[in-house]
Amino acid sequence: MRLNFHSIAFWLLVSLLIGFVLLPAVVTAIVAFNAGAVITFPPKDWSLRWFERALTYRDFQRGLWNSVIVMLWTSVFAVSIGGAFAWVIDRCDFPGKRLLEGLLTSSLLIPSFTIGIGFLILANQVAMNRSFAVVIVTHVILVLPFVMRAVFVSLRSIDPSLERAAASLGAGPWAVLRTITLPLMVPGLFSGLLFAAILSFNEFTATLFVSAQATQTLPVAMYNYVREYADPSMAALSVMFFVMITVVLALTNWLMDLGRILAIKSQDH
Amino acid sequence: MQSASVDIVQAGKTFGSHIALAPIDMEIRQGEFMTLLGPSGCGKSTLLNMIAGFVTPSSGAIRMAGADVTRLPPYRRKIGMVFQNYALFPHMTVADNLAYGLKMQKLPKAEIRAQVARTLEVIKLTKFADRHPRQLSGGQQQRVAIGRAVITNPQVLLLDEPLSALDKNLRGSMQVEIKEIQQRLGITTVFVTHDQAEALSMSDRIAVMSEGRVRQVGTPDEVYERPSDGFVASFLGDVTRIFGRLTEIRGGAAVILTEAGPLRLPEAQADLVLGQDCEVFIRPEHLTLVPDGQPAMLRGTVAMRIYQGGHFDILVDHPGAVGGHILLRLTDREQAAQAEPGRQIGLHCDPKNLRAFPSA
Ligand SMILES: Nc1ncnc2c1ncn2[C@@H]1O[C@H](COP(=O)(O)OP(=O)(O)O)[C@@H](O)[C@H]1O
Ligand SMILES: [Mg+2]
Repeated sequence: MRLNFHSIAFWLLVSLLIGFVLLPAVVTAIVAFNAGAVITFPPKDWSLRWFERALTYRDFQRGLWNSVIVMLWTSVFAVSIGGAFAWVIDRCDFPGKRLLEGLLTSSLLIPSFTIGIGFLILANQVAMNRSFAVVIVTHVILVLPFVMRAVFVSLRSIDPSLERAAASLGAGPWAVLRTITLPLMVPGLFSGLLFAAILSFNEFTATLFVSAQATQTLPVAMYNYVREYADPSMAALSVMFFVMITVVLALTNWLMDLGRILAIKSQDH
Repeated sequence: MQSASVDIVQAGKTFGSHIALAPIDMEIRQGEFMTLLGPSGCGKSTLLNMIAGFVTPSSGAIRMAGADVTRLPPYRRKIGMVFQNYALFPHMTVADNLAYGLKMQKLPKAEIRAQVARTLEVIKLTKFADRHPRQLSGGQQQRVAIGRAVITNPQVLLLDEPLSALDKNLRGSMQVEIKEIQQRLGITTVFVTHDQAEALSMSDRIAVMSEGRVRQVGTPDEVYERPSDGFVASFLGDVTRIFGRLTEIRGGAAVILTEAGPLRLPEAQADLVLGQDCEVFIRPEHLTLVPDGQPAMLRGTVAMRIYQGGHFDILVDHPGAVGGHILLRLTDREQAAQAEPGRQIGLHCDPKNLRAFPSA
């Protein structure tokens, strides 16, 4: 009896949790297929018109394109800068090292809107407030701590005797970096790249300040849209987002699994 | 490339206020197999890494083939090094691991391929050329590490506890392989280990170290048979120590009073002053059984008889011995049969095999 009661309570709790987590997504998904122009739940009639609207709305198209541009540049810059500094901080000894590390990861402590306002003012000073550069710089600053964390972890997992072995075989510092350290850092750089891309794509608060009409990213475009309209196209967009992220995650998962399978296969032969 | 002699001249290393290595002098001859032997933390790796160039000495100098290399970075010294965990490059195949040093020398591709093929044959891994290190057994990885270290024809081969990760059987055969490769190449070798049996079986000379100091340098025979102090005597091989005090020196013989009565040994074998507390060292293989009824140097009751395959180890209770036991090693089965547990036996040791050192 008691055991039964416990297991019922347990499953109830689990169902509640799952429901709680999924509820917003489910409600949004249902709303997206609404036929009317006002959000009603549950919908009286069904249609795909809001999907069409979301896909054809010019600001969303531009926003997505801008988001992709910003995301790509941010990832490239953040990973090169973060990777280089992480290596310098981990492998070299110089005064002010801790200070440099603190500086590079300080955006964790500063609110995003502060960074956004700061860059907006600076960009105005140099008349660059309409350029992608200021958006990208802001994003790089914001994602840098996460990229560096990822690179640090992979650097510290490299056995230092590997670099010594290379040196004993005649490899100078640059050759060691190029032939040993860098190749072994690839997984860390890759996860840093993923971090940078996802964080940049989702960034809203700081971007709201530093983007102009021509450079606004998808999240900013969505925000501007809901300030004017309250139709279900936002819900349709959310569904597409969700599907896209699922596909990306599944793809990553498949790629990683594939890597593992290949490694095991080659181990067996 | 000609293998080189290594001279260590008053080289020492301190980390902050901690003396990892007191300034030492050591000459490693061209083509010699020199082993640095000592317990963990005694400074073996520090000395080896000083020769390699990974540790800059706090004082003194290192010379290779007569040239001062103290300030030379590792990649400019002509060394080959083998690490405890092998340190094979995980992202390269066996062949690429072997080729690494040759590529750094910018040799022509064809030449590299030929040398790698030759080395693969030497280390008997030709079939494994395209595998990655993680797909090899411990012993195979070890052979790759050695091949990679010698393929560039270094002046000096340095090995830091290369066998300690292998199981006992494999260790024995790897000892032979390393020794064979070393002799064939005639390469000056510095080998670090904490295993005295390994040191005794492989080395031309052994430097016994403890607490950042070199206690004795000598051939395996010298350090085993004529240890310069109590540490060396007890670190190499098995030994029984008997507490005593030097009471007199007469006619070239030192008399040491022990629980078992006075022991006499040649004066030269007791590095003591009159009245000094000391320990008398006896190797188990130097003790013999005395027939019943005849006078014996030591007497005691057999506590345990341990079958070791090729010989028997016999523990004899004795209150004067460190640990309360004398260790006796018998190869003769009939003699061993006499040393039954519980039985009183008499033991003898030729005085020339006794040694006395001050108490630690
Ligand atoms: N980089 C270092 N910093 C501080 N102390 C060290 C360092 N390297 C070694 N030591 C110390 O120096 C001593 C000798 O170390 P090591 O040469 O590694 O000994 P072994 O190889 O004989 O075990 C030890 O007490 C060790 O703690
Ligand atoms: Mg060591």
